Amino acid sequence: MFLGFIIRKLRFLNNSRRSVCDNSTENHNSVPKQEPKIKKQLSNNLDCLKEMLSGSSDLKIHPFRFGPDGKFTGTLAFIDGLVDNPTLTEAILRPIMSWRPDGKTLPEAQELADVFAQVVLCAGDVKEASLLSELASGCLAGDTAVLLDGCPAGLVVSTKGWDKRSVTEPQSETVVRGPREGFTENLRTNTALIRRKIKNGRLCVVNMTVGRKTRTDICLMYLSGVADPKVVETVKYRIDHLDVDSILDSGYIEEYIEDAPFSPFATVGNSEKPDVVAGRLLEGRVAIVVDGTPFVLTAPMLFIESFQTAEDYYTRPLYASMMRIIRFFGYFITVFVPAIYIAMTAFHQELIPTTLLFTIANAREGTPFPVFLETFIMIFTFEILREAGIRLPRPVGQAISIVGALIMGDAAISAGLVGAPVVIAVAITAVAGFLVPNQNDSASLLRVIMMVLAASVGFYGLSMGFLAVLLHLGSLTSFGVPYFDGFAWTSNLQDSVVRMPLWSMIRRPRDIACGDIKRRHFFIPPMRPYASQDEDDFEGGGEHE
Amino acid sequence: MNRRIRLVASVILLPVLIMLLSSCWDNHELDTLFIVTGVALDKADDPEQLDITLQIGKTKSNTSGSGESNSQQDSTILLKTTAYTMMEGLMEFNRDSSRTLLLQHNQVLLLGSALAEQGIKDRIDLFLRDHEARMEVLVMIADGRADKVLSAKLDQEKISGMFLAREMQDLYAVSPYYKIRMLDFASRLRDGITSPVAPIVAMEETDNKQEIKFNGFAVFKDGKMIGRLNNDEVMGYIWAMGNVKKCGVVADCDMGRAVFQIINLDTERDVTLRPDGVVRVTLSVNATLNIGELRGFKGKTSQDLMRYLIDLAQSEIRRKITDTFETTQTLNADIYGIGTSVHRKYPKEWKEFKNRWNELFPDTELDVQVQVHLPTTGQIIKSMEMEETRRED
Amino acid sequence: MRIDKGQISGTQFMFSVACFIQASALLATFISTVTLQDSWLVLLFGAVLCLPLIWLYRTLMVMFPDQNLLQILVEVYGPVVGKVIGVAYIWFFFTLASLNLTDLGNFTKLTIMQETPNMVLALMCVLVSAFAVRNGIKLVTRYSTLFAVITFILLSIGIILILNQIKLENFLPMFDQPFGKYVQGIHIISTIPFGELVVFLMIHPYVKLSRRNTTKYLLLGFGLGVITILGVLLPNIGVLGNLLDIFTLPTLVILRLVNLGMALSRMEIIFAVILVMLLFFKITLLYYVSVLATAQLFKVKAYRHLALAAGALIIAYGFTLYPSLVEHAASAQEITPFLWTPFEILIPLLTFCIAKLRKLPKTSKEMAKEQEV
Repeated sequence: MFLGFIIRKLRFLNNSRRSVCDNSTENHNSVPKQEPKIKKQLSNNLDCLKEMLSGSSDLKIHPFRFGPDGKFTGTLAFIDGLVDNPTLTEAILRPIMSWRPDGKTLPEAQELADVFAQVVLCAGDVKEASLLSELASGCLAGDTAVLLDGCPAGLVVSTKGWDKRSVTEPQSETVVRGPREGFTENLRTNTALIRRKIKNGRLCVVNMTVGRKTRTDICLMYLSGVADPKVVETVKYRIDHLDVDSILDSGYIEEYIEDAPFSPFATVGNSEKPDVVAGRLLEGRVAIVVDGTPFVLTAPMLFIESFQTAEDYYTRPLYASMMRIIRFFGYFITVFVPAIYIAMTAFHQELIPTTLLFTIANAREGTPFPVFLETFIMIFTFEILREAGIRLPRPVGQAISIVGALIMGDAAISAGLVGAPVVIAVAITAVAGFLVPNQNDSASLLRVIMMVLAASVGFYGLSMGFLAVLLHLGSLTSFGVPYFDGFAWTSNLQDSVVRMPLWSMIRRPRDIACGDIKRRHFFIPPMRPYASQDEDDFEGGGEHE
Repeated sequence: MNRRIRLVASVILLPVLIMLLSSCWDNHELDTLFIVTGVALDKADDPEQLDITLQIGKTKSNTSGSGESNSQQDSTILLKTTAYTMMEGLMEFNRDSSRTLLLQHNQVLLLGSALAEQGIKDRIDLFLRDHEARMEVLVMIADGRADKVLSAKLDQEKISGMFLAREMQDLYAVSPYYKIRMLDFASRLRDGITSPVAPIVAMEETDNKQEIKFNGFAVFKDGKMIGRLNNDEVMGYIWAMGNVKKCGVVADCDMGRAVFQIINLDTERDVTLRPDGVVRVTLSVNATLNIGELRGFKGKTSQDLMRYLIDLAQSEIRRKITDTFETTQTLNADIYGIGTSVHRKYPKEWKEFKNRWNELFPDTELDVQVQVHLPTTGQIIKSMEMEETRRED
Repeated sequence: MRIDKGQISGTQFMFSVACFIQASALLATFISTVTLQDSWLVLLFGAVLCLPLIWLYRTLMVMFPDQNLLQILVEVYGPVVGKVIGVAYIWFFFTLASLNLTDLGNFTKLTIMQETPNMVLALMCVLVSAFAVRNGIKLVTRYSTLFAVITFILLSIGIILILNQIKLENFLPMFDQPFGKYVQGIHIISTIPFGELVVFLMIHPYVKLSRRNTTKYLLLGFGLGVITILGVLLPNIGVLGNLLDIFTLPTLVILRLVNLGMALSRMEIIFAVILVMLLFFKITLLYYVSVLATAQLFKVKAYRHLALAAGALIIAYGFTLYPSLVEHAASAQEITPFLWTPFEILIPLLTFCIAKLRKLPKTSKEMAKEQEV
């Protein structure tokens, strides 16, 4: 009976993505078929429009009369707060009000929409609409809908302007040297920031709308000719077949399209900085920009990317390589040090030198808990402190977290609840965890698993756990690219464990980019020509393949 | 598909249950362990039995206040019992103590001299066979009873086992042949041809202060201690084996007393086997010395003095090596491994001489050739006494 | 018929061969107890004498580029006899996997985990291996490079640390043993570490190289493995001298002796890490080959479902093979070489001869001609 309960709970394991996708062969985000059209009667249209927007009070209807002697009537419909009032006035109202059609013939009511779109309005982005739903979605997006009495078509004029955050330094990825721009919550600002980094016509932007209720806009960006067409197709396919109500953040999309939902490792990358995203685009990846969040997704992602920061490429290669290696050690430390400590002190005391053993034994004397519990309590406390530090309001936060950590640690040692070596081990673990912040979630999870393994089966269990994690990483693929590449001979070693100088990275990563592989043509260090020297002196530095 | 879920669930659950429901084997928390730092074996009243003493390094709790004095009584615990074999003794200890014994950090194995004379070849099996036994445990013989040495309360170190280990580490820097590990001891014991040696330590008490001192080497034959070498003779042995770094050579003559420091002393050994079985050993000693201290030596110029001192050092080294060799010949114990050298050089002939080595060893001839270099004389060129003499002239 | 769709590269193949042989390095007891201080000579002679054997395997690989061992047997001996010999080979692979699994359990129990029951150790290893086996050859051999490189680095560190305790005189009385011992030693060496390379005849179709030219990689991997075993045997002999044959695990003993300053001591963790890693790799590979062979012989389309069942079988079989380590070691010196010789030497040789006589493999042109006729 108990087993049956567990089996029922595990039933979700059975459903594969294929079955879901087979059912939904159509695009969920396309507009439903039966739609009210715009009729010639203005009041009908207005009533329908109000009903579509649930009679909200921020829908402003502004009727106006225009033309010679106010012959024609029309209505503006817009949602207050989403439109930029000066644009509304200058681009729409003023030209309409000051429209004096020359000549004898006035246009017919039916053709007014055309006339408006091409002659009257001063806006850059005008669309003709024949369905009321287009007008409604235009209003919801911040455009103004123009309805004309007697005309079976309406206009949607772009007047977007709402209060948005300005481009500031991102808080999650700070650099010492490098650009400090970060994405904002506005889709067009983000795509513009990326466009400013890559001023190339082959940078494609594909628009999509996701989410039945939220109708969030997303943009796919990729460099055609460099990105693998199969990957682009896969990303498009997966986003098209998303069956969701709402997308509030790119994290939602990440969960719905990733390759390995049960793995602790993320297979879709994200970033808040445009130069990072631009760098990844240039390597052949696809960027997914989501309206309403400053975090842009990039697919495919490799494990190595969590260890590469943007600053690596802006500082000198030797220092960057050293930092890279330190980051690898940091990740290793943060996942394995508590487990190694438990395994050494509880199982394999023979591996510790004698004097160190006496020190640790002195500290253990009198503490009530077994070493696994001690370590677990300290790590749990650390996680609490970290989470509390994020949630506390800013003025209070820093003081309490520092003082709390110090006092709790010290008091716990003096009270004899935990031993000092455990506190040191956990402190090193905690600090090393911040070296690779992208992998914090996987590190926390793996740390606990390793501790349990080490506490039950000692060093052998720890090595088996390590091998299991290695094998799991080896079996992951991200959109067709193997996840854990970069360490074998055959693939691109230049950018993984160390960062080789930029002039040596001739090719793009082979697994991700297709087509245009070459970044550079030379493999020599930079030349230092002086303006006064002759050209004959540079013959040595010809083209090297 | 239902079958698949059932399979996955049971595959995941079963090993988890196995590992969680049973206890964690092999898990020994540090506060449930007694860390053994020294083992002493003595002869008991019953000749079949052993007196076993274990020295446990006691751990102090950090939380019980910081005002405790560092008295020696708090640092070690001594457990004693009498049993027929070492393993039975350990089992008795484990039964009667509150914690498990951890032998992995044992530093030294002390054997009482009475036990050593009785024979130890059959007593050390545990120290080779047990999975907690390490080959780097030091083997030492105690002058008298071993438990007295182990229970000495020293000023320098709180735990005498650690003290002996550290002392040996210093002596190892002088010459690697000082440090006798279980590996070296067992290797020679098994060999049968070369006699094992082991350092002798004794506890001396003066003015209520206890100290442990080195008293030479013990020489074994067939697992029984048959003799000893005093500290000077140990020098001779060490120099004959070579690879000596920080020793001293004391040379006395009618003109004065000279003390040299050995910077480097290497010995090469060559054996020649004559058809009648007599072996001739040629030792070529190459030493670089430093003048440590001179007393006397009036009326010599510096160049003469250098030549004189070199001759003096060479004869002193030769004398010591020859003396020790003669002592070992008297004991009929080949501590240098000459037999093994013959075996390596003349493998075919060795087959017949192997069984007669006992008779052949006392007839072995030794030829020592010493080469001494004195590169400098220290900070001064002429000593005080020499200066005076010159002024008088 | 290709059951597994994965493909591995040439360097992965080479490092797999190297890891496979390196895994026998740490358990080199059975070699060193027979010919004491001349074991390294026996190793080198054995390696040289095994080169024709490697050449034989390589020839079979080149003659039948797309067919693994079972398919070769069926083609050469005909369907009935080929399948019978195939069943014998399946037994061989299963036995090898079980033996290595019990080795891992026993040696781990001896060194680092004394009280944990064998079942737990074996179960954990098989569960992790099963995950790799279910994912195919690509995952099984993926980390061969990493393991081989780590083994080299750790072994070099170990040798450097123990260097000051190696005495060259311990090697000295050379050729002192009776001649029969040398023959026995060479026979053991050529069957137990080196002859087991016959399992690579099962996986060579998955190597993606032009014309299946695996000679270079096979020989290089073999060379790397031999260097590793040499690097383990030489310090063993140099440090232990005449105590070499009394220890069950000489490498562990010498690593325990490392003492450079008070901090660099107790280096047996190097031994534990290398042992677990390499034996895990060898077990996974043998496990995979067993499952693949079984699936192929009984025409099972998806071999993944067999994996866990085969794993349970390997564990259970392992516990029934030898009652204790002593019989295992004794058998390894005396009985097992003779038992493995037909599988590793005689049958491949016979296959090669018959294939040459029958002018196999038939190329597509000849097959088309036959069909026309």
